Amino acid sequence: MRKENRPLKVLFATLIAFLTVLPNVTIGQHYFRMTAEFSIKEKFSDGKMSLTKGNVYYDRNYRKLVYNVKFPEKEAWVIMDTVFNKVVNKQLVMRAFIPLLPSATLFDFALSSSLDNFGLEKSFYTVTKVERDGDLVISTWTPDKRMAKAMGKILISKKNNKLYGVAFYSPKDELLKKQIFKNYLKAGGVEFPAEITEIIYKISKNGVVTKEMKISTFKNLKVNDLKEDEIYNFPVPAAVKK
Amino acid sequence: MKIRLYLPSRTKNLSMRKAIFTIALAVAYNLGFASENAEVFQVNEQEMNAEFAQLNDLEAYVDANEGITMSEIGQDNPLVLNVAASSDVLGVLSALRGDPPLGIPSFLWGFCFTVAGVALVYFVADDRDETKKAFIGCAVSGGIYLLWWLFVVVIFNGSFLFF
Repeated sequence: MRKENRPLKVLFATLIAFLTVLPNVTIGQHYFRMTAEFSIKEKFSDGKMSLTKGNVYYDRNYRKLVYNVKFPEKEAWVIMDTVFNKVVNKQLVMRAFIPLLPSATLFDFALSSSLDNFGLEKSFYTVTKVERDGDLVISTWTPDKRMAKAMGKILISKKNNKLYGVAFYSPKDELLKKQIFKNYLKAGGVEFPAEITEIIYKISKNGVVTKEMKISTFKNLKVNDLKEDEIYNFPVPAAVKK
Repeated sequence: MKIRLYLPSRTKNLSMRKAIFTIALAVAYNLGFASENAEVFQVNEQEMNAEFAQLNDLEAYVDANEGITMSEIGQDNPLVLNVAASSDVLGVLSALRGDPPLGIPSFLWGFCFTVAGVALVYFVADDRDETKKAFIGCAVSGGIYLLWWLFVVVIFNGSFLFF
C-alpha cells in the first residue's frame, strides 16, 4: 500500500461504515403512528354547542386518520385521502368528500417534526418577517404571488421554541381564525399540544363579526404503539348501507 | 493547508444571497420588539371558561359515566340543553387541519397549474396517490389543450384565430 493513500482509504472506510450505520439511526427516529384520547368542545355563534369524545388514531403508512368516537354516539370516522367515511356497527352509513388530507393534519406534522411551523415550510408560503414580543417569536408567512388573491397571510408564534399560536387572515387582512396550542404532551420524541383553543371569526355581508369557539384536548398520547393495529388500519366497508 | 472551493459563480451568488437573507432575518429578529401581532395570540381565559362551563360539566358527567351516549342521557337533562345530538364532523376536523391550500383537490392543482401544480402537490402533500391525481389533472389539462390545438390550428388552419 502506498503510504500517501492510507489517510484516504481510512476516510473512505469510515464513510462506508457511517453510511451502513446511518439507516439504523434514522429508522430509530422514524415516527409512523400515534394515538390519543380526544375531547372537542364547540360553542357556535347561535348559542348551540357540541361535545365529541373518543380516541384518534393516525398511521402514516396506512394513510388513515381514524376517530373512534364514543360520545355523543358510538361511531367511527375514517378519513382516507379526501374521503370521509362514517361507520356505525361495522356498516358504512356515510361517505363524502372532505377537504382534508390525513397528511396535512397536526398529527402528521407532529410525527414528521414539522409542527413548529405548522407544516408551512413545505407549502407555497414563505416567511417574510420575524419579530419578538416578550416570550413570543412571531413569524409572518405570505403566500406565493399567484395565490395572494385567494389566500391571506398566516402568523405563527412560538414560545420556548414550540408552536404557540397560528392566525389566519383573509387577503383583505381580516382575521379569520386563530389557534392557540398549550401544554405539550410528550411521547417518545414526539410532542403534541394537550390543548388547542380555536376561535373562528365570521364576517357577515353587513360587516358584523361573530365568533365560534372550540377547545380540543388530548391526553394519553402514544407513539409507534404496535397494539390496536386493526384500528389504525380500520376496514371500511365497500358500499354505503341503504 | 488551504482548502479552496471551486464553486460555479451562480452557486456562489446564491449562497451569498442566502447568507445575506439569513443575516437580515437574524437582525430583524433581534430588532423586532413589541408588535401588535402579539395581541392576536391573546385569549380571554375568563370568557372561555364562562362560555364552556356547561360543556365542561357535561364532559365531567360523561367521564363519570363511562360509555354513556347522548341518547342515554335524555333530552330533559339540563346538561344537554342546546347541545347537538350528533357530532360536528367538519368542526372537529377543522381544528386539526393544517395548511389550508391543501383543501383544494389535487386533481385541480394539476389541471390548473400543470407541472407546477404537480410539483406543488408532490412537495406539500408528500403523498404518492395525491401526486398521481395531480398528474392526471395535468394530463387531462394537456390533453384538452392538445385537442384544442389540433382542432383550431391543424384542422381549421387557424381560421378561428384572430391573429
